Amino acid sequence: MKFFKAFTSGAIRALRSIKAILLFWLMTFAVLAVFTYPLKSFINEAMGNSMITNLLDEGFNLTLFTDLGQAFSPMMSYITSGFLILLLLYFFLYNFLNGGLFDSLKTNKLSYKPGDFFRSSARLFLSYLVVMVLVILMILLAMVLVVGVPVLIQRAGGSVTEEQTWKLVSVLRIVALLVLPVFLLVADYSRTWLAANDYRKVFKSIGYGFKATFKTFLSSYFFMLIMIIVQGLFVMLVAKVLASYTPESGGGLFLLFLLSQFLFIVKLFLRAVRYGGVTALYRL
Amino acid sequence: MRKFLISFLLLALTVALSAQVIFYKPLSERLTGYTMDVELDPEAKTVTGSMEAYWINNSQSPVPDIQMHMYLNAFRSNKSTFYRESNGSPGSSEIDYGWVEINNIIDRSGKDLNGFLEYISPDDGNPDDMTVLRLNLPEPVAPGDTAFFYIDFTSKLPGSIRRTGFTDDFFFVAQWFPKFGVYETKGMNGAEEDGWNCHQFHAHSEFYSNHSVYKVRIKVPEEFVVGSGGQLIKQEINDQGIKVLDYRAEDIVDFAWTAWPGYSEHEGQWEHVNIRFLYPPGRDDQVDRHMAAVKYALEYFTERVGPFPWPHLTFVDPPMKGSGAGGMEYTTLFTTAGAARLPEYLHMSEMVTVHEFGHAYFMGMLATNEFEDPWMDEGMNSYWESRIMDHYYGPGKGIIEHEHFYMSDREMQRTGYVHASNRKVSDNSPWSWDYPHGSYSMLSYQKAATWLHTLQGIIGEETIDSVFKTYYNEWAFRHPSPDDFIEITNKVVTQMHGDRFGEDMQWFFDQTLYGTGICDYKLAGISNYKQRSFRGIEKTDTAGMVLKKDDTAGDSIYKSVVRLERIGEVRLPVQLLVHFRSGKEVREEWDGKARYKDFEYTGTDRVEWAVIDPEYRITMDVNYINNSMTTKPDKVRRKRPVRKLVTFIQFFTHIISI
Repeated sequence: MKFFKAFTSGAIRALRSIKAILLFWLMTFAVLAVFTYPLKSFINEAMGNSMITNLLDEGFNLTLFTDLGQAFSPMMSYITSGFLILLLLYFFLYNFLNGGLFDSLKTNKLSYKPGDFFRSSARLFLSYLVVMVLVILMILLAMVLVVGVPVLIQRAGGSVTEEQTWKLVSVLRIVALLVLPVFLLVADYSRTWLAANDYRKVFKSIGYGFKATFKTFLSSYFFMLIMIIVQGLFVMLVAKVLASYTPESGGGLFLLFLLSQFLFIVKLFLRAVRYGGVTALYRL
Repeated sequence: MRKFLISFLLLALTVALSAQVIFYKPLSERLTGYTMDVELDPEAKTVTGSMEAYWINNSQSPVPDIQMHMYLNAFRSNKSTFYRESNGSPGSSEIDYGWVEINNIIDRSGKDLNGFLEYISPDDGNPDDMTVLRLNLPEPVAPGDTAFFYIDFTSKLPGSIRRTGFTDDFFFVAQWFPKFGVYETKGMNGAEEDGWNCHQFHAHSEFYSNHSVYKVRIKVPEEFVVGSGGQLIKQEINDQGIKVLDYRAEDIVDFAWTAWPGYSEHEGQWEHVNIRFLYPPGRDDQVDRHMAAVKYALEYFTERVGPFPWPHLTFVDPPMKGSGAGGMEYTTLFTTAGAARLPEYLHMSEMVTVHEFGHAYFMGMLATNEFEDPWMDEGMNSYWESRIMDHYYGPGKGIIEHEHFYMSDREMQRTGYVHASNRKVSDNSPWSWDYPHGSYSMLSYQKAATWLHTLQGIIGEETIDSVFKTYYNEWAFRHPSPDDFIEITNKVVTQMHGDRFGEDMQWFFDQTLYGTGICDYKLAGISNYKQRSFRGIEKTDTAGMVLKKDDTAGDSIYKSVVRLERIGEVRLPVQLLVHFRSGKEVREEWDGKARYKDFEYTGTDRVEWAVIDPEYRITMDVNYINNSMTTKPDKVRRKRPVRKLVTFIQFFTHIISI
């Protein structure tokens, strides 16, 4: 029963937090624009009025990058260093915005104000950052333990064929996927607790995260597992759609922009359903 | 009856002997030959045995010494030239070291020659290097005479596989026996006088040998699966549980073999060639891909260069633990580099198969001196590898042919050269270990392949195929030099094109093979000027100074100028494709010699875009961006990938945040 309640309540809470979701999108889009515009200018400057982009007609021709000649190295270093900076920036930004989103999901009112969103974001930022870092470290450690160690033990055991290693890795990947929801639940319960209680008690919140996860294990676990699968399938669908759509005109390009942003908002909504579902389970 | 019996026995003996012969008419001079009987000791990691070897003096003078390669001694200490150059060490424990030792050597008359041996270091004088052995003969070998030697030797294989060595029970046995250098006569391969060409084993160098006949008996424990460059004549297991295999190989430049109990086997056939593929368990899904690749290579080389004469070919995909043996060539035996479950769209392992097979031509049959002219094997072979890959896996898709992204082998070669920071540090003439600033691979593989593609772009595919066919016909099973290849190119190009490209093609080789300059042509600008009819002040007899204009001429005449510049030092003939607004297209030729060239057009039409080298024939051009220009840039094409990249970043960053 709790399991179904998590979905319905999560979806309703997400719908009522639509303003928070749109604010979330707007902020991430603004940051992305900061990265995109210099990239566009760089490409324009590097290519001038060249027709080299014709090579992109049949798909993403890696040759194009080699054909960028002298501009290739600085462009790649720009993309890679810019990308790393962006990753870091997003890491902090998502963490910041999650505070507002969790607060909105907790409040569960359509009238939730943008001012409250940013206030909660600022209030919860540091606590959420610690939770995020700790849970990511836990996930990495778990992956090493679940996947890396068995493979090392197997290979140290003597004559192991690649096929045997592949089989083991395939099984372990599934095990890792099954373990992942536990840590995400810990993170979500912790953040829900922080949004509802004393935001400064980070380690207490993590303890609560574990406690709540195992207290309602079956309903929580399968809810999270299904949400992970749904989001994964959605991302695969997005990749397929965007890869196959090749706009030929300015209008088509604009459509690509609208489509990609719409899909991203859907992605944010799905994430909000997850957070909202855990919030609902927390309240039950 | 007795006569009949003798005749019958003689006939049977002849049949038995001839069954072992691969070529009734030798393909090469066979100045050297080896008959070996060796046994692998899997515990001691040694190969021990005896060898009968001969060398024929085909010079006009008596030869007082014999020089032999003792390659495995490169792994004898960290002071060897091999490790001095690579700044490495053979390993930490005794079992890691490799060496080859002559236990006994006598001549045909039984004379003990052990006291006549000395190690020399002809390349660098390194007293600690023991990779070249000189045998100072008690009596010189007279012109036309054959010197026979009976040698007992032990080869200890190195622990870290660098082409040769072992890991656990995996053995790749290469560069493993005392082997004659090449005695070059004056004029051969640029030699100024008769003498041995026998270089030390360097970190960046391969080999140089005479085509030989090998009769090799290999003994291994029965559980081992063996592959070699020879044709298997006989196999049996003796009472001691030792597998005894007799191999014969003819007209190959080296004999290598491998033994590992874990090998899986697959056999296939391409025309007259029996192909045997050894691979580790778990890579069954890759077998068809490798087999297809090697058959493609056989077909393409046969059609475009010349036939593959041997009826046997073995290739090996070493297991992960033996990956150091991967990507090496011994003419009728080569190693590839595979992995289990490689995606279908990625052709890297097929590329290695094609490349290593290609060495059967470029240094196997056309036995160039890899020590001194590495571009003649690696560069030429990389050029053919990229042609084969792009031919069979799709133009532009030889390396990656994914639904949404792709890359050609030719471009991969080119990228390695045009983006190298040290691309101008040397030409292609240094000996392999003398390439400066780590440029050996880039210059001998990628640059050479790239300028060969450029040569093809200039003289055409049909002509370059003819060049290589002639090169094969004249030099297969001999030792060609760079000058021999250039001479053939000049001859064929002149035969097929007269003086279209000048008196000969030396100008090309001077700039590419022997030049360090870069090639870069730029489309500097397109201008369309409106040619206005007359409009100006004229003095008339009656009205004085008046403004006059010619209304009879239309205002729609344009003078269009396409401006080309040569930025690089290399001067090559290039084509220009000019596209007008009406859709009309004009092709222009430019010899590419001057620093700039303007093409002018006058008429009602205007130039919309222009491209230098529209078919990307001049692969040496280091910057393709500046080869084209349009007056109407297609912003959609430019923005499209950026938009997709940005969306990818947006989703990716959200996925990794929890």
